[in-house]
Amino acid sequence: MTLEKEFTITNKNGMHARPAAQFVKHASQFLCEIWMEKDEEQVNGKSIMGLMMLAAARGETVKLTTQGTDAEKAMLDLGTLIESGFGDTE
Amino acid sequence: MPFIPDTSERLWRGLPVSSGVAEAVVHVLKDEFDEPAERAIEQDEVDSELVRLDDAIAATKNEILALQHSIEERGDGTEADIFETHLMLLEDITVLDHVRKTVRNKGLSVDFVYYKLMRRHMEALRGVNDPYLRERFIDIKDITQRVMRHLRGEQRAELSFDRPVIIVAHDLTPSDTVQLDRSKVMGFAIETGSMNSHAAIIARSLGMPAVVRLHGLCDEVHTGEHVLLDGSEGLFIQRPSPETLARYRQIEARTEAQEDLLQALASQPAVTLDGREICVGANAEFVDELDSIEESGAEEVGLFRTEIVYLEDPDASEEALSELYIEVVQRLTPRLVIFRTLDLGGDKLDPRLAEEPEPNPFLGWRGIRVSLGRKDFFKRQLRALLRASCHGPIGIMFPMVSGVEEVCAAKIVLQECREELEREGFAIPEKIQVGAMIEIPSAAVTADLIAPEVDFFSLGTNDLIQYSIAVDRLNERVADLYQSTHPGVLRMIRMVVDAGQRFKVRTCMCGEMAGDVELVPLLVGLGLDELSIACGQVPRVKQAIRKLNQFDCVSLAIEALKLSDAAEIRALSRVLAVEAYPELLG
Repeated sequence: MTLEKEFTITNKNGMHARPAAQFVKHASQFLCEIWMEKDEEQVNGKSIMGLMMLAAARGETVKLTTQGTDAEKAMLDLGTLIESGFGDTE
Repeated sequence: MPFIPDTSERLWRGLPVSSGVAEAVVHVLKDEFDEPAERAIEQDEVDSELVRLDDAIAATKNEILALQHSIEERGDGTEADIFETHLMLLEDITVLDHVRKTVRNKGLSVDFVYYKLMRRHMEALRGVNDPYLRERFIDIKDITQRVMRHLRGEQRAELSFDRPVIIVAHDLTPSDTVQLDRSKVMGFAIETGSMNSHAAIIARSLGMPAVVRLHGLCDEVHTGEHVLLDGSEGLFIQRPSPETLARYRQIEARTEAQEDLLQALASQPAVTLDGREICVGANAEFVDELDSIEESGAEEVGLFRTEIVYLEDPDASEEALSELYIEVVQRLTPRLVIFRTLDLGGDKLDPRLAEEPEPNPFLGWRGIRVSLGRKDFFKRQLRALLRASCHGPIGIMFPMVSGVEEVCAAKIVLQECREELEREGFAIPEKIQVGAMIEIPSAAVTADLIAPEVDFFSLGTNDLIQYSIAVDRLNERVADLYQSTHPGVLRMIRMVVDAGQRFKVRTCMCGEMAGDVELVPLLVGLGLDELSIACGQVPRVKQAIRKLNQFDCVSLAIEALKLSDAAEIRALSRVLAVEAYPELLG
């Protein structure tokens, strides 16, 4: 199954190295394929280089796509991670 | 013709990114990031080339793991995180796949292919809009340098210094800074960079001076030279003259003497020259801050934030909460500790809500609204706080109050908890201070309706200003409009203080405005009873109060309330500040 959902980046310094690393850590646990897209540019969600290149700043919208057996669990887990600002507290 | 070396002082100007002054000898850190030669390889060499890559990656991985281990021993949490990212970059499947394919298809050496690819990514990152993200290219450079070094079969040079040094470099990677002897390194002078560079961030966290954008410095300065680095003004001074040195040493002596004076007086009360005492408290969040609070001379904790526990565990039990609150109270008693009940968006408590994010969380379900909407949760926190009150004086305040009904509703729940606990055998003190955070305009203008229901008001100016002027501080397009001395804000503060005075309710201010030393005359003049600030600022603000005359401050406030321009109002307060305590100002 394929799921798609949009999120707004909320943490202060955007998806910098630390949140990207957290995202990849979580994403790598799932079997499904994971893609992150911003402004028509799509990268592999399990590649930290890809995420860093996407350079998603605060306020920007990204589209998360999960495809495969555990796509639903992945979407929920990764979605919560993004929404919670990756635990970056101000 | 004999070579006569230039012995005159040479001044370099850069961007100051971390304040402070250091005088020491230079150590130039050479940049080892040259592009390797483009070497063609035969098809039968491809496999061995790829093995070279795997070996270099593995060696780099071990190096970083060892580094992380030693950092953990040292206790440097943030830097350990950076290296976690480096490990991921190192093993990034997209990168490695691309390198392997290119080596095979184009028949080029792995050094060249890896370098070129990483370089491309670095440049791409340097081109993004966001100033913070832009600087993270340094992480890619760091990893690349390590891998390249292993491919060359070189050892990284160990750096040790026998005397204090100032590091001069083109840029500094996390690997560079982590292995520097912190006891010998006094500052950074960097050719490139910005406020968000790794070098700047590390310098600030270590409290040492740093200046960036000193173009061309590496070629013009030699290891061993005596220099002076002024991180506050952004100056790098080669061969400082005796006059320059004398000037700086004088400034240093004055600053030190002043810090000592402030510290010595810290525990004295903050009373104006004409006898008005203002309570100065500290804002806190973590148990590790408690020692600093005691040292700072803070008379109470005007705001203890309680969100941290919930971010880690939304279902924190009453036991866990009361353990924390009791520890805080026991450490600080007999100082009053005012706890603010949960001030978070509701989705932090319930991941199901996170599925459908609010379009305007700032105007949404947060603070007291969440607590009143989740009674079981609210009771858990209130019960834990009441249990802590048995160990020392506490206050409880409710965030994001928009009107008196919320305060009344919250007090009913509090009373319920009190009665339950008393039945269970806890001896809850008779009087516990209850207050409302005034950060929403509707609460400020109905402060007279809220006053009969509370013991104190706490002005959360950060949010009050944002809501009143309708400005998001973090939105770069409008951030300049955020003015703490906007006449509208002052009138609201006055309204709240006024209502407080009529009903004998204390008014405290716990937002950033309270720590703005320039504005202390205005705040004293407006009639605030307490300022609660970051504990590092407590000694300064107390001293500022001691140098003022309440009479003059009140006249200032009356004048200020007639003005219509925020900048003019601030300037008015500044005049009094400069007159009374010039030594305490920036």
